[in-house]
Amino acid sequence: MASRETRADNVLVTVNKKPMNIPDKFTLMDLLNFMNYSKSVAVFINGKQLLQVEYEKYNLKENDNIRIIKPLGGG
Amino acid sequence: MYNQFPDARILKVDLTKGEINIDKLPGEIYRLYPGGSALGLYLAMQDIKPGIDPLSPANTLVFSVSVLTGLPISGISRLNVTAKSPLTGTIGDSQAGGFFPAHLKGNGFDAIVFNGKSDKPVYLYINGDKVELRDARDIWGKVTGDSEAAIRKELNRKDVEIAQIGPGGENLVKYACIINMCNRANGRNGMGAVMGSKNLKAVVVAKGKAMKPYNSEKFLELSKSVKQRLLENESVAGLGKYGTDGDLEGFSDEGFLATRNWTSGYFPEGAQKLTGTTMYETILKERDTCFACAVRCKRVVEIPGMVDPLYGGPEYETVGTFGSYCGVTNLEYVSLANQLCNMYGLDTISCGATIAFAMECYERGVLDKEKCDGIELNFGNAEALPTLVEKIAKREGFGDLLAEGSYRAAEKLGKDSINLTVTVKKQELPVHMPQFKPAVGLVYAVNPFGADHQSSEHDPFLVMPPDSRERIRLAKIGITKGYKDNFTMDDDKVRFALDSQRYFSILDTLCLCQFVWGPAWELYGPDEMIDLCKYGIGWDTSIFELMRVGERRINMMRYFNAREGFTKEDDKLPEKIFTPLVGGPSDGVVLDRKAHERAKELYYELAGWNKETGNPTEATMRKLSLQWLLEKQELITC
Repeated sequence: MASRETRADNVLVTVNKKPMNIPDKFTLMDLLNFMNYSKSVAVFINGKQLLQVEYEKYNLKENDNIRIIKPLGGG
Repeated sequence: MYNQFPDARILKVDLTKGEINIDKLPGEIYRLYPGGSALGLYLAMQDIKPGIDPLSPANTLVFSVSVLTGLPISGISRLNVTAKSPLTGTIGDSQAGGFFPAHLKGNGFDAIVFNGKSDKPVYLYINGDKVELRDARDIWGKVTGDSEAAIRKELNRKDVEIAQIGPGGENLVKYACIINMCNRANGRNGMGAVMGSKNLKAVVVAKGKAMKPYNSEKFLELSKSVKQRLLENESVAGLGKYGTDGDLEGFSDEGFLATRNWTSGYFPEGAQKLTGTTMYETILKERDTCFACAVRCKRVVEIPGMVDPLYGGPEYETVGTFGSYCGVTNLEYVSLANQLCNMYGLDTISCGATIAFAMECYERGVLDKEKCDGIELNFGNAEALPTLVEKIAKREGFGDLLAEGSYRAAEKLGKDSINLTVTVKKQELPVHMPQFKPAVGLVYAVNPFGADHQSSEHDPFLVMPPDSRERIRLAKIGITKGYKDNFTMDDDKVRFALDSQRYFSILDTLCLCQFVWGPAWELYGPDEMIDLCKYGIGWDTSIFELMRVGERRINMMRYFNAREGFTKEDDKLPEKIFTPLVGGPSDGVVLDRKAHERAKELYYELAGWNKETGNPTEATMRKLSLQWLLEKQELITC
């Protein structure tokens, strides 16, 4: 996982409608880990849904508009 | 290899005569109703005549487990209770976990049928085939913890499991529940009041043996895989760690945590204080479990001098109803209210929701301080909660009105207060908002025993990606369409609601825990449920047969209700759901009434129900091998 402590936060993205600076070469899974999400979420980037298998491979890019949805179930 | 389906052993207790008999249900019939809710219905519908008073001796009360109960695997120990409901007037149906279910089966019984009424308080003691009714006059009036101690002392055994009522059931509170372990509740539909009406204080079972699996080697593979499944399943692991309350703050953040009697979906002042992580970090003493279960989701909280760990801890629904519904931000008082409900035997959902209704009546001037026995019943009054729970359980003063549930209380209060109720078929809604989950809202409306959040899968899992565990499993029962958000209500969503309701109906029939076994996010999916039947008892079944079982149960319930005069007119969500929410991210949001009504019409057609009445057609009944009900001729037309 990429560490925020060792990289400059110089990529601007939007996460759930809020701007956020992240390091270079931050994958989606890095972002999820950083935000304390598990893999059990739905992610839409620039309106397109990613498969879970893509979470670790997808390198976030400048201006990516990321929507993370944690499914809130029953109980 | 063909393996004969086992017979069910049924204990029949005539409380009027004090007679106990053991009956057998042949395997070929048991296979159609293989336990739990379906078996309870089958047995109850042999005896219950249409139009009876649910609190009269003419009601039949059935405790049932399933053909699988007692196998040594997680999520297997659930008790179903069936009777005509005094709260809804429909069929009543409720489930609880613990050790009681496994031990009931361990004593050799699949169900207990209670008929009539005892002339004095009694409890039933089951120790293998030695079954007796014992005098309960000395424990009548005691709270659950004291009753448990008294029964154990009298029997001189610690290893008994006790399902009992508290003073709430004795006093016929319409939403009284049945409690085992002092903290597991057959909560909904007022089954505790039915017990109370029969002068039946408790059912006590001696410790029984676990069932030996049919194929031990394969079964062990399935049961042992739970460890790896927990490692790989963050949803269930999180449920174990933070409890059902773990996502409460998330619901508020989204704007869909029902707040101040459903006037808002946003509770920023309280959500963080009430959520499961806060409970975990502050008052959680330990995590408790049910028979053979590795998840350990049950909360046990302790607040010295205030809350006793004997009574467990509040679940999400309880924190929601006593917390956000009432505008209360204090987790300690919510925990105390939970404890009192468990002591007195009250359903926390209906109890908290009824108090929230009274609070809104107070705020709007329908009630005043004098009518509320001097209590200033504004939203946020945490100290009012324990006072009111006790008054309700004892039917004291203002509590007597609230003991009838919010709908009947509104009928008495008048002044348009009926529009402040949040009920379906007179049962208060759980803490999942149809505005956020329209498929759940559809099931709330059409569900035979009133609004229930554990009767179908919830919309948000359809937003998960196609390669997720949730979507792969849902595809196995034919649900393949994904969504970009929760809010769409199209044809496929209706089918999702119906088919997942049938799946959950299997779970309530096989008495499987819905956190461990399910069609989406749970530890074990559809394939493993088939394996459980096969390796557990040698039942070589299929998802088709099981879905039919689930469908059969729902149709029996609907048919029961039709005999009582219920129609589609009773499948109505409360007006609050169509009234704009106030504040936060959901400000102004309503459920789309047109889409909801259209969905209901499609649901009836897909279910094989009459479009005019909303009840099962004769063909549907025959398809499901339910012609024996038609032959009883208790309903002229479907």
